[in-house]
Amino acid sequence: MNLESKVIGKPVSRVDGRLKTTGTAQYSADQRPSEDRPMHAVLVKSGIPSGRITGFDLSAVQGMDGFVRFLSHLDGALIRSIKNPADGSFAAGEEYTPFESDRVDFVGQHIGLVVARALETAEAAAKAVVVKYEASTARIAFDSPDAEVRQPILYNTGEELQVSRGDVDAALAKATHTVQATYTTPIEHHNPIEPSATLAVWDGDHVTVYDATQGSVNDKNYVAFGMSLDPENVRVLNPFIGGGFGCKGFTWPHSLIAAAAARVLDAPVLLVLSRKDMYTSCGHRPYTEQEVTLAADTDGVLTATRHLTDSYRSPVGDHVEPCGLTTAMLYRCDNLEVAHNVRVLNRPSGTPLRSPGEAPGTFALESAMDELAEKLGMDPVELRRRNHTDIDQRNGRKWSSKHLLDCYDRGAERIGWARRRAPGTWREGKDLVGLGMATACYPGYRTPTQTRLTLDRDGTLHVAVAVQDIGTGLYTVLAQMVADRFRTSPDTVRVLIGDSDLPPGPLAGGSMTTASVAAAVDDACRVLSETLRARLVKIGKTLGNEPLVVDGGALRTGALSVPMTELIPTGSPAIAAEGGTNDIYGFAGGVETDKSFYSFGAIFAEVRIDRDYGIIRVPKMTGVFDVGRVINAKTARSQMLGGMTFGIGMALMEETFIDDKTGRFVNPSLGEYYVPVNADVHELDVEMLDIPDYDFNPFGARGLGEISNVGASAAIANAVYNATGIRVRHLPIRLDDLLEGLPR
Amino acid sequence: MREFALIRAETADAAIAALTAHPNARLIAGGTNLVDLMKEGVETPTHLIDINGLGGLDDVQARGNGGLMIGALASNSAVAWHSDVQVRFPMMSEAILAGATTQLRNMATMGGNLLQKNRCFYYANHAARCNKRAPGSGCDAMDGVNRMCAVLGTSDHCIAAHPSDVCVALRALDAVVHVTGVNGHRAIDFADFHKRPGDTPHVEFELAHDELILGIEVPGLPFAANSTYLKLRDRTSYAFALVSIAAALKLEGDTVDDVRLAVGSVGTVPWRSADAEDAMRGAPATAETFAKAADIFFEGAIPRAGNGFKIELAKRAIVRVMETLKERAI
Ligand SMILES: Cc1cc2nc3c(=O)[nH]c(=O)nc-3n(C[C@H](O)[C@H](O)[C@H](O)COP(=O)(O)OP(=O)(O)OC[C@H]3O[C@@H](n4cnc5c(N)ncnc54)[C@H](O)[C@@H]3O)c2cc1C
Repeated sequence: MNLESKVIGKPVSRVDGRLKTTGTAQYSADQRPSEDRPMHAVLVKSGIPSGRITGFDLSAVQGMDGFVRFLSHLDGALIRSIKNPADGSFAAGEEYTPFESDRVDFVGQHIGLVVARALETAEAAAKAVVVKYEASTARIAFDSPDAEVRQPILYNTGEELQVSRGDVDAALAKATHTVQATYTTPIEHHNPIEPSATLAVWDGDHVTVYDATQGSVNDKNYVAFGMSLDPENVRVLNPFIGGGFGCKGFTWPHSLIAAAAARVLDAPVLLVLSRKDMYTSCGHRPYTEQEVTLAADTDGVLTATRHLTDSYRSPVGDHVEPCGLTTAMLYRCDNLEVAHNVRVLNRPSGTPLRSPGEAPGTFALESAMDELAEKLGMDPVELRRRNHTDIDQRNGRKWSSKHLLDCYDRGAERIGWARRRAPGTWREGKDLVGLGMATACYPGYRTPTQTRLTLDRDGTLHVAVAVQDIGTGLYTVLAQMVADRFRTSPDTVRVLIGDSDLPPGPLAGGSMTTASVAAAVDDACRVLSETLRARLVKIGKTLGNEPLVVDGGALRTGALSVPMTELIPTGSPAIAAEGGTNDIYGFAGGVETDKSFYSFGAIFAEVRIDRDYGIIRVPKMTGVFDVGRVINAKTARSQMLGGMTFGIGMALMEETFIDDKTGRFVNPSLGEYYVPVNADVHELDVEMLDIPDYDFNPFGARGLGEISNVGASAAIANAVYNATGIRVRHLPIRLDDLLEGLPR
Repeated sequence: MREFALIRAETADAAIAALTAHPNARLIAGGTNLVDLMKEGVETPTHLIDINGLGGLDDVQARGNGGLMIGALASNSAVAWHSDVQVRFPMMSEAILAGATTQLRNMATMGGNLLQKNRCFYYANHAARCNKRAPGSGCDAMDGVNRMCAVLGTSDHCIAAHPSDVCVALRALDAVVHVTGVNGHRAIDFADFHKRPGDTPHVEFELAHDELILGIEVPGLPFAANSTYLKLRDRTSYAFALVSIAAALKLEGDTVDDVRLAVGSVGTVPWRSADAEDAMRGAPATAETFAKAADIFFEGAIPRAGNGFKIELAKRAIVRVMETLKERAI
């Protein structure tokens, strides 16, 4: 359909690139909307994992020059109780109301707020507040014997968490080849470079919130609910966000706290979370323990699959790390059991982080597949081919567009898979070399989105929708989509996003924004075209069926060319159109269709491991992805490079330690929580199959981003095994995991 | 951040006078370590005495005996890229360049590097028990996350590893620290400058409150031209060492004529073993000799649950570094 497009698929540079690289882009904490300098707020956080607050001693604080106010649950109902968001208008990271009670459920919980004229004073005051507690028994250790264990029924997408098909036990009893192992993944934090920040500015009963959020509409509804306001009286602005990776997805208490403080003080209040705050205020990926059992016949065909995930949640946040969801759909297998157990622990709340479920889940599943291939004496790619299916195993539907076999082929060729040797036998100098691979996949999601399009007198198209560019390139992609429909250049399109007053769009999460806006933009372009045609007719033009072209100062169709000044006479408003769709795909309650939507890919990794020291390097990673149509080759590739880099971090470095006695995170800083530096990232080789999926939306794009770190850690772990013969079943894999067993 | 007064000292005497006048004052040089610790509330000085205005302390002077005198205010970068350092003591240059980042090395001074605090996870964390930060409170690293901690020179009170890279080289090179204070100048052997924790882990340096470092003398050691520094860590850059080796080797035929060997991040101070070096001197320059020396080096090491791997890792690294130096010497 649009494969001949002049703009779709092209490597268009970011329209906001200059703003970002010159420091001109204004992030939430940079905003100074009024003459009044904002007051600075700093959180007081719980120092105990469980108990009650019995009082605050403010004697060291009250005399501080510039100290303004301390707020806590003792200040009455500052925030409406949101324990049970009856209207379902927002998704919150924690189902609790800040400053509502004296109860404390984890270390780092927000229990007070210091407001001062200067940030330095607020910081000093926050440290000087003495909190008195009455501690109660806390369950912190993962194996706390008396922790409540729950079996949640649904993930937040509506997907079932406890799945059973066929008879796993019977199939296992008959099986000739079985592997069973337990894999663990650590606590991980998002660590976006921009910390969460909220600036709340009231004007009478209306509040404007400059918030570092991945979802302005969701945030608006949350603030409206908590402040007992009509949503129309809340405006959330988030024109630029310095990364989120999930921790700015759902709403978190600090946004409400800042809004409440600004209301009480009748002054703008700025609350910027410190790096340390970021570790306990907006989620993390919980530690997981996953037991995977696979059985196959001699041909490698899976006869039984069992994936049991044990994880935890905080008492107030209901995130479940849904590790087994991928397992339920990926390979053909009639006998399958997927289960998720969640312990309730006095730890900070979890939340989605870069492919929640898929990333840790495929580490386990795809490592187990590698172990099975080894046991069968079969090539790991071949094993996956033999279990390939064109049917969604959960519901029997056909995949809308699946080219995973091509991904395996292309990836194997690009990495030089044929070079692979038996485990521990490939030596080059002091290095042990290995190759590994894994399957990647990620759901196709789409949610309701509305869009406003305007054509003005100088021929500029304006597209407006309440979505946000968290660094992914959405500004540019939107300009391209509109430009494509009016056969013009992306330069003639102005993109307005990052404002909850605009027509509503989705949260930036689940790799779904591009796919969602694609459908809405397409519809709005159709409506605008019809409006323009009607206008042309009205001013006496005769037109055929040729498409409309916005061409500088003129609107063209076929041989007809009408100057914009004639189309929109002086004094008349620009021509506007709204369009959109309420369709939901990929979530429960979505559109009834006979197809299932998923993106697929294959990740290959080469590792070189110093045979004395066990230091692991990744000289090359290849990812081949089938994500539907690629709208922008450049920003799409950047997403994949980022995701694969996350994969290196997840495989080899990232880990937050928790102290089981106190419930504190031990290394809450970028100096101590390692992510890859440039020197750790070598060749990242990305190929997109670029096959449109028009069943999913009119641009054929399924969306992308998260898929590129799904499977990445397993590919590296499998390569480590291939290089050394050592199977490491936990992440991250560090040199001390290999030292003893290295084949020197 | 708490308030503090800033005093700009133009002379060493003025700095000493200010230190004497204010018992809770700290000197500030590059500020790369001190300011971080002030933000964490670990350092809470009432006064900062800025010594960057002191003249004549920021250069590297070659000494006639093949040695160097390095000013306390010379930046880590300036020292690393100084040709005399690179030619005479490559291990020093390599050690500095293996540390931190370019920006930090440009700011950081040599005096500050010698006095940098440890990087134990529990030190800068107020909620944790730490005998260095809060004497007598206990040590959470003992049974906590101690993968980065020391196995040599530890006590029941502290197992924090010394984090500096260049100090490992300076220890191997028998550097001398020149300081001045109310009671005049002193020259302190590098071996005595950093203190093991013992019963007083909060006492870390052989330096009185009123003293400041003027310079670091590196005595001439011709065979240090054949020296190197190896740093092993969890990521390729911007990470403290798990284990590091500073070594120099001189051969006489196939025999070890002289050797220097210091190991970093395994001890509570930069670590050296006279016995290990003695075991190599006069012995054949073979892997067996190096391995034996490595074993001797770690005699008496006390691993904790998370850091035992450092011993094996360091032993392998010692052997490989010595083999490399042997090849270069031939
Ligand atoms: C993120 C990060 C990573 C790092 N990585 C490494 C690494 O990999 N390897 C490594 O070796 N180091 C590393 N460092 C530490 C770095 O080397 C030190 O911070 C630096 O050398 C300190 O020098 P400075 O001049 O900034 O000292 P300052 O911070 O100014 O001072 C440090 C201390 O020394 C005292 N002081 C300074 N000068 C004098 C003097 N002349 N006389 C007496 N007292 C003095 C101060 O009072 C203070 O107590 C890292 C630091 C950071 C922040």
